Amino acid sequence: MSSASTLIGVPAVDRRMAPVPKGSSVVFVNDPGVDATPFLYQAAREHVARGGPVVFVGLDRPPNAVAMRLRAFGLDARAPKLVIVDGYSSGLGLDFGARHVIPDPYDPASLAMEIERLSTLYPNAFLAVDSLSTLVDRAADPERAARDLPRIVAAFRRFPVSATVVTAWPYEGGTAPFTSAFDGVVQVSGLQGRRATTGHAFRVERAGWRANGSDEAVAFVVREPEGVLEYIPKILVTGPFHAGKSTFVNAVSDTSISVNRLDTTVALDHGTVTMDGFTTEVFGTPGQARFDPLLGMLAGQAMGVVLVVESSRHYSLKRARAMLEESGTQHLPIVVAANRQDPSNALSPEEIARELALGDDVPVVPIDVSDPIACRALLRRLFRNVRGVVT
Amino acid sequence: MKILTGVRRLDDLLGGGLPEGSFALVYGPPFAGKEVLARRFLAQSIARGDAALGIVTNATASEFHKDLARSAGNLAVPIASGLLHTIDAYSRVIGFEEDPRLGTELVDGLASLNDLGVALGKVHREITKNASRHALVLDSVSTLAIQTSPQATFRFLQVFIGMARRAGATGMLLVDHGMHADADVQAFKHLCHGIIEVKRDGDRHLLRVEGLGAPPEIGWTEYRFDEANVEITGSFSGGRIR
Repeated sequence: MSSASTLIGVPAVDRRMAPVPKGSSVVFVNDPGVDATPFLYQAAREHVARGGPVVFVGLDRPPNAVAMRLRAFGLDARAPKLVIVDGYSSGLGLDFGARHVIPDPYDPASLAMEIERLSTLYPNAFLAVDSLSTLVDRAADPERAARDLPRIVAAFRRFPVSATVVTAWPYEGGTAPFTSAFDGVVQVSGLQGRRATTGHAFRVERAGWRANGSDEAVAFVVREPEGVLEYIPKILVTGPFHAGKSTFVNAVSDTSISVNRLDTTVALDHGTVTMDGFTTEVFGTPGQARFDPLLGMLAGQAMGVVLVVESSRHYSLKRARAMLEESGTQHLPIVVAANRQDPSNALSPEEIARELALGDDVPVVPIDVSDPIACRALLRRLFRNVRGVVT
Repeated sequence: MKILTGVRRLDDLLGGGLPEGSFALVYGPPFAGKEVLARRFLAQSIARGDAALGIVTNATASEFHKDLARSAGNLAVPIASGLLHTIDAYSRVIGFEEDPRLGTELVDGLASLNDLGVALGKVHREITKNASRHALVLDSVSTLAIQTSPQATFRFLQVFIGMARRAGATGMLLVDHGMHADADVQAFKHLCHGIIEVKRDGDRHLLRVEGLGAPPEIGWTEYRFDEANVEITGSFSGGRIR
């Protein structure tokens, strides 16, 4: 890497954005209810660990709360290279006695001026600002706040690299006015289950120093003190004995392997599939009840479920529903693959939906699971139900 | 389906309770019993074995639990069994070292409304594992609006109510009379399915309901309250209760 480039400080992000030209400013744009601040806290720790100074501006919380969060991510707030700037208390008329205070944190000009001043004091520092949403939300007119942002971002660019966070509330003009001034934009989304968020993913939407953005969505978890850790999420393929689960896993996967005995799965089927920029592992479960203890283990970190049923085996539908309960995955997005629709006694998708009673948001798709194209189309349908994966 | 409020005659007025998935704006002056009504609602949910979530911006979690216990009894079992959840957005603001306790999420403050959204997401992940529905109380919208801005609070509530309903919530949002411009109150009302409004008239306390399945012709009626209960004592003019 040349001396004119640097890193954000979060390996999962740097693998997709680095090298970052010096003077770049990156914004993490999170869905409401999704926490993007761990990216900042982890980056601060990494920069201090590499010996570089860090200026951490807390606009959303008092300095002691910033220190507590930094500590949670393994950085002692008393570290000599760390400067915590209080951009919180004066906005509430308080004084926590911090060394550096933003006199009027809700005034864009005041904030920009103070950032410029800090850049002369700590010219080689990584700058983190948690977060710019407060500034926007305090403004009576968010559009005016957006017009003031370029001046603030210009001040950010005086540092070798800087990062901040903005929440994508339902602003009338969307979030583009708040992100256009930045050199890099990382979207941070929630992976939606049927009733609540079940995981998170980020996507590098723009890196101005590269020709193109990326359509790759990266699932991640946040662990303290480590920080943002990427992982490959799972799709669980479950259903009764001999419904066609192994065939589905083999058909849909780029690579796959099965653990079989006497033509039936006794441990699991495993495959990997990359589709729409998202890589997942596909786990097929055994269908026999004696393997039920495996179901919960295989379901860990699953983001969605393909429930494979054989359409002519009416009696197996009760078992299919029980397997969802056994694996604890009823709350995840589910697509039912209604395999073998040919026999005359096969139940229609509507009849299967009625029997399973999983809710109107669970599609029942007639399918031949030996058809790879149909299987991938079904998987894509599941992805689209997991908002945050497919834009 | 209707969700009982914990106040019998209010449930009668509502035709059996709040419509499941609805959000009621509970609006009125301070010290008029809004918080007691909200706690009755949470206590009723716990009593029938559903979950309950209290989001407090003006009290610590321990103060809230002490007050709720007056309506709900001993909270040890509902907390241990994952039925009662609390989001405390107050303790850290005043520098109070609230004990880490089961079922309680501490939020650094309200400068970032997303912190509250993140806490809500965490709690909903827990609640939806075990419960199909829950009662939710946000006490109060007024604090959010004062600590951020009415516009930011409106945007937050737009998202918040959607998240909560998807997770199976039926809710009460408390708003103090006299703290907001009329246009802001109208905007908050616009996000809800109806309003339970309270006021003082001399020594009397009066209540009325708009929307939420209540007959439109019913006007103000008298109620009384203490620290644990709310009781409607008046008759409704032209309504189904006399």
